[in-house]
Amino acid sequence: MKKHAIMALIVAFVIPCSGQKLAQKIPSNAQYVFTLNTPNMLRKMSMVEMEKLPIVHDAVEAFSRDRRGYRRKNDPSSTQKYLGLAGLGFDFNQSSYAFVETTDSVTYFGFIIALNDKVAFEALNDSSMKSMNIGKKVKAIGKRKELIAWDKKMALFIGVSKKSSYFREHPEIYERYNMPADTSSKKRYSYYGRYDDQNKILKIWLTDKAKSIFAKKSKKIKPHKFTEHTDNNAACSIWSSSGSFYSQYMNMIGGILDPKNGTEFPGGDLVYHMYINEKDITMKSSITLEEKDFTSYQNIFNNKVNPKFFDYIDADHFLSYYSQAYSVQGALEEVPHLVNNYLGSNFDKWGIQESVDLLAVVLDEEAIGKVVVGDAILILTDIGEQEITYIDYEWDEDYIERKEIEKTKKEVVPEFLYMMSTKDEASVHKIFKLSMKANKKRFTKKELYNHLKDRGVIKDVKGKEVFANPLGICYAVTDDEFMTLATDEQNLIFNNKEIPITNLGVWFTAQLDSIIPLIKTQKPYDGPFKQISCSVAQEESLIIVKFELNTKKPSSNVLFDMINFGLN
Amino acid sequence: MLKTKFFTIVSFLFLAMLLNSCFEVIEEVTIYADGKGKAGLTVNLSQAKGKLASIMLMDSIKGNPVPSEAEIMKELNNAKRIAEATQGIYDVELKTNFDNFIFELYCSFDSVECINHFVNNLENEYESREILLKNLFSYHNNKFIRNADFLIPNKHKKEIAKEKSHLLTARYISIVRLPTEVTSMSNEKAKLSKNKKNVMLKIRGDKLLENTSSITNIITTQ
Repeated sequence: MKKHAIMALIVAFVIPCSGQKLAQKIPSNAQYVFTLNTPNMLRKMSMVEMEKLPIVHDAVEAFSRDRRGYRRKNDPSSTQKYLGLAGLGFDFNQSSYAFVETTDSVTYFGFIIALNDKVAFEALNDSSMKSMNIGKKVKAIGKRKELIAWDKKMALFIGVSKKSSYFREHPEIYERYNMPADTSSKKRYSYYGRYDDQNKILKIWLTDKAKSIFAKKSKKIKPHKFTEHTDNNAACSIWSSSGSFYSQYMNMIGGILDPKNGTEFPGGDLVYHMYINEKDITMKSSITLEEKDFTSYQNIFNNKVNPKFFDYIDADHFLSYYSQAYSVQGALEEVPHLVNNYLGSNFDKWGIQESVDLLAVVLDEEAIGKVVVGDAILILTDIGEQEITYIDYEWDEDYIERKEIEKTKKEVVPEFLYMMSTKDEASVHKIFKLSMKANKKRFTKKELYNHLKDRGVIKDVKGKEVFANPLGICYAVTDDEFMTLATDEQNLIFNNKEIPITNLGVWFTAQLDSIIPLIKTQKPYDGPFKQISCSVAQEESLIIVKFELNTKKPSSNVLFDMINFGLN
Repeated sequence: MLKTKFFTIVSFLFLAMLLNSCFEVIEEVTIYADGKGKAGLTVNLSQAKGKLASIMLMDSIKGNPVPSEAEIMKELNNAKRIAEATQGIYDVELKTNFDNFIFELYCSFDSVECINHFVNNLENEYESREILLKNLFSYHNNKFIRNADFLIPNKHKKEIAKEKSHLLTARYISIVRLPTEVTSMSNEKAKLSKNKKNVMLKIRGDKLLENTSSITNIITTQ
């Protein structure tokens, strides 16, 4: 049974449909819905190619063998053969769906996949299990907490898990199902002794759930909310209501964040889409903002990366870069409001209101926002070897005289450039002076210019004063409302001029062929991917988190590449 | 509170380990014919100086608090004060070098057992058994005993064991200078000097942790 479900999941996940018909079958109250757009995925990769993937081949083979193994016991004449994906009876030209629905008493895990060959599908079923009819032309086989149900068009794999607390708190449930407590046995009478009864109830509920899914007619019932967020271009998608997502996890954390304590979480929908394109794989997730929070987020994201940063970058290649652009002043002003919105009544209970008020009084948002505006860029230019000196000791042959010797060794050090905007140069100056207690070098502008220029680091240094601390980090406070921070050993080069100067909150990108050998013990990277990127941005009423994996060259089966990449 | 203070010093060594850095602990004991002598302990973290300088800017690393320069100085001076207050110990000298992260403590003693008293006093001051160092040294009837199976208390052994690979390059060096020629040594790793009076013992940090090598050495002299 489990194998069945796992197999179907693997198959459906690996092979990506339109199948809006099946979408109507999702229970209206499901909190999580996973869409596997198999037709879309099949356009990127044929079924034959897919079967070449070791993971798919092995799974299909194991699955087929298992079934045949059983059959062979009963029928020695049956020969073992590889069925292949097409031989399983699933219709991959329609999307498949998985869902999770939690009620006050149980959680259902379901997977719905279209069938194009009922006979082939039925042949996969364990012949030792007798199927039953649970509806008009709907057959099912199942164990206590699992059920496979199918008709001509679709198969449903569904499981259930109980909330023990519900059965403890609602003893009347047994009466509803005519299961009177057996007073002759103490064990059976206790909650813990009623497993059998509970399992019977679960089986009834599970069967009813399966029946209702097959009986669900699209015309009569309003479709599930996730259908508002479907994207046919996505290979797969996940939908959840952010409220339930947060409450479920915060519940585990407990304390102030526990929803039971009055904490509310941003409502709206949480949607993840994965797109497989010719040259990249992109994962995009978005949270729909509630109207009351919309302005707050707008104020926080009200900033752009300072285009002047790029004047200082004069190069062709880098290993990785990270940029951020949000408004520190906006964040300082708005975060307390957002916290207030989410924490609700906890505010008073936990004395947070006072703390927030106090913070608001103590902090001068505007002043801080001037010192650190909120946009910055960090570029990892190299992870190079640096020679460092250290002290070692040697003794004479009688071990009497100890001699101090200076030795050298090589150490791997990251070389980077960091820039951030400021409108309050004087304060930045002060902050850095504070951290410069052990100031070893103090460059003049000209010295730094020559120092960095010799290494081909920086086009121009506009700084008034430049410092270097004992760690070899140089920093310059410039005339142009922003400051640069740089290591003194840099070789900064850019080959990607397309750094977005939009109001992206955070942007990160890394060149895989440069980074991976450094991380993975100097082994050269020969994978299909060139670059990895991640960004957080606000677009209208959505906060979008995007993750992108770019291939080196256009590929017909990026997905194939990705799976192999992941496996290696 | 006191324990925490003491941990300042221990934690600094611990941090050096966490940082996968080489470091050296050098113990030197010189005994003259009259039983008086000199002792010195050098902790050389200069191979990790770059990393240590970086982490000194932080409050904590991997959940371990990073002591400040002032905190380290305070505790080292406290140790010095305790040494000075120990009977039979005098001429205590503390050398610190925060550029190279080398710390040295030297003293003279009336008898080598006075060092044991100093260590006991140190333990009492901190009301702690963080480091079990009992009867570390003795010298009687031409027999010198350096007795210590383990410097690291069990409590921290587990944590440190996790970082064992980082101790491959850490070294413990003990040098004992005796007034007369050595006739036997119990520790097979120990080396005798050309003049046959002095003994050097170098042990790798991970061996010490595994207990496959010991600092313990019984040296008999003529």
